[in-house]
Amino acid sequence: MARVKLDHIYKKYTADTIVVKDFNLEIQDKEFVVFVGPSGCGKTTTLRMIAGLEDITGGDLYIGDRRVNDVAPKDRDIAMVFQNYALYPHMSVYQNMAFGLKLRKFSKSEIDKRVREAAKILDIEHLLDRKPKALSGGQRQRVALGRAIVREPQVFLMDEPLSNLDAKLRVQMRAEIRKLHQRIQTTMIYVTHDQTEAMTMGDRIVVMKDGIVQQCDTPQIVYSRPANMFVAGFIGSPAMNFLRGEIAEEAGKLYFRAPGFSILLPEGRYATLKSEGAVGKEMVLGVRPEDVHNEEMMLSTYPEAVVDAKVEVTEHMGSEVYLHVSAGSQSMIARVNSRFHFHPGEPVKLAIDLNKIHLFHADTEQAVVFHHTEKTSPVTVDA
Amino acid sequence: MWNELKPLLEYWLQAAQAEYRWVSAASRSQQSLSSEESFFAFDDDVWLVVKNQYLTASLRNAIEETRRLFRARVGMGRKSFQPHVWLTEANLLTLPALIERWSTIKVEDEDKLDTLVPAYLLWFQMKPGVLEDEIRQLTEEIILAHLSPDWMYWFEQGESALLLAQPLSSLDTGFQLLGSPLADGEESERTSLCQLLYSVIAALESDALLTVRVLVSERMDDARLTKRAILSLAMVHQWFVQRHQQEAQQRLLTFAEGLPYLTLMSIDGSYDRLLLHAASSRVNGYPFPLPPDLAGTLQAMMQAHLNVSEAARRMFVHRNTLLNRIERLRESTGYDVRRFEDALSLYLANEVAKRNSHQKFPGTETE
Repeated sequence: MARVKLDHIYKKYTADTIVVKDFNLEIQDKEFVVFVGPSGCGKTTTLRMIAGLEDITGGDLYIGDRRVNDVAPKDRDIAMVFQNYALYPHMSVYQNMAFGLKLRKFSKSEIDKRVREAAKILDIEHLLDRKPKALSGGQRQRVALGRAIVREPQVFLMDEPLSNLDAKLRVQMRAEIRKLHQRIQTTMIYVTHDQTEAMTMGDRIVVMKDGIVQQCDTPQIVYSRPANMFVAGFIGSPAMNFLRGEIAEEAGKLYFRAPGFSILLPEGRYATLKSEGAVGKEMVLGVRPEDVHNEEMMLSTYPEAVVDAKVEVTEHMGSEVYLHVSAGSQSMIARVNSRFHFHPGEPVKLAIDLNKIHLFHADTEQAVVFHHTEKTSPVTVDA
Repeated sequence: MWNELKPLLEYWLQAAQAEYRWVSAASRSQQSLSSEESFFAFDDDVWLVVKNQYLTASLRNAIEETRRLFRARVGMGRKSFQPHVWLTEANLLTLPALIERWSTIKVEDEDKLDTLVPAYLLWFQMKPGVLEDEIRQLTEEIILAHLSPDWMYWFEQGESALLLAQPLSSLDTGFQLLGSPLADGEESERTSLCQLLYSVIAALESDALLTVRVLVSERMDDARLTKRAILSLAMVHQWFVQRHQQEAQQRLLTFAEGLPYLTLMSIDGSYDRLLLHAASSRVNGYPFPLPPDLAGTLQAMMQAHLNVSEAARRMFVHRNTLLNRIERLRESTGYDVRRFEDALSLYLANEVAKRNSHQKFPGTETE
């Protein structure tokens, strides 16, 4: 079991090809951390640097209390699981799981004990005599996990391990890996491009873009308080709505003004907005689709945040409907209950939940950070 | 000396499909030269006779340079021979360390290179650094758990590499088909040698914690052509270092992928300007090569057999995002990469532009 610390880590291929820039993170013992970001953001490279498969150009990497920059991968006490399962086609599942230990000269009885324990944890005891060819994708991935578990490493590194599985199996394996983590209580670092996977699996998630860490926090915080527009747009599906406009002051009140609509901002946010110089500036208002409502109760709760919109497209998702609308010159998605029926071209009134809005500087794309003590709601609703 | 130069030269002669023969002093009196043939004397005893119709500029250049080197280095001993110098001077390609290493295989070992054919030569290039004995042994065991090579050679020069010959007959039937090196990670019922090699790579990465890249030679159908197969490995390596950074992560490369590169190499450099002019004329003078984002879109489309959904999946982007980029590419260059001819033209134009503009290729430094 071990902590992993990345201290100002850099990876450069050439002077102008920097794939990881100033990566700082301290992963606690037994923590499950997920690196997430679009293709080419440097997440896999960072993982491979932790494994020792890539050299570190700058900074210090610690596993436990030991600096491991120059420690050979085999001496770092880690195990890796990849998207392609790394199974030996001619060997049975048992032999596949035992192979790594055999190479490391473990005794027969120790190998047998570890393989059977891992097989039990992964529920593959009945498959031990089969060859990989005779296994389904999910079973193969379980064997691949088993191969890592028997090594009893300090840290598990997983690089997109579920990418090869179909959507349904992916959901199932997601939960199983999470359970596995609870059972074996080992530090795990998991790389994925899939934000749902990150949100559902990680104790903390690290959102990366262009080799730079954008935000690192619990899934709840990353979702509810994104640090910038990239994180806000990347995490959550459908993605957060971004509306461009200007903060205007009128008779002591602050409004978010966009072509075609205007929203009265909660008084609790005035101080921060003023201190950040947002008044009179172009800003971006972010609101998640589930925070845009069409119910009468919400329309009356936030009369100052009602937007007149026009339905463009509706997407039925079963229990809910994604309403693609245009408001002024901008478009927006609302997630509404499926008991409502809308038709393209129909006008609709939508209320934005002012408790849940985000404001970003249009130029830097950074979020305006409001303090927790600030009251954000202008009205209270009687239940 | 001549044992090394001759197969290299023959490689080019065969690549040009030239009709040629070697004439020794002893046989010269019995043979005559026709008016359609040219001869090149290497020394009194070795003459090369080639039919004129096959003597392209690049072949003539290769022959002349071989002859020059042969004459300059005769009697200097094999250690001083550096084939990459020959190839550079022959204005073909700068060859990697591979060829240098090849020249260190001693002649007395050559009978050990005897291989059951058909076979592929496989070059495993491993990082980090020179491997300890323990890891070398581990590596061999992992490889032998997947493959059954006729012979293996380790090379240790700054980093470790293993050259081995894998006869097809000692593989399971399913793995005898080479397959595509771009199919990594695709769940497929079909098996292939490439799929098997990806398993080896993954096993080496997870069990020995090595970064591995595997190069696959041309298919060797004659054991006497081992060195030619080694040269094909060198060419694969060369294509690899010429490619963009984004492809540098590809772990498996085969000679069979090289058809476009061989085609480009067979076009005399003096035509490059003409080719680029033709390619950029759809949109008034588009400045090739493509910037990385557009090149990435083209590359993804080519790898996904022009299937937009599949390309989007590989790039982890939404289909509409990719459609946007394809449209941007079309607006900038006039080529719609959803059409085969357009994608091919754009690809060739970009490669031609790259070979003219990249003095220093990205990826070279990481090797």
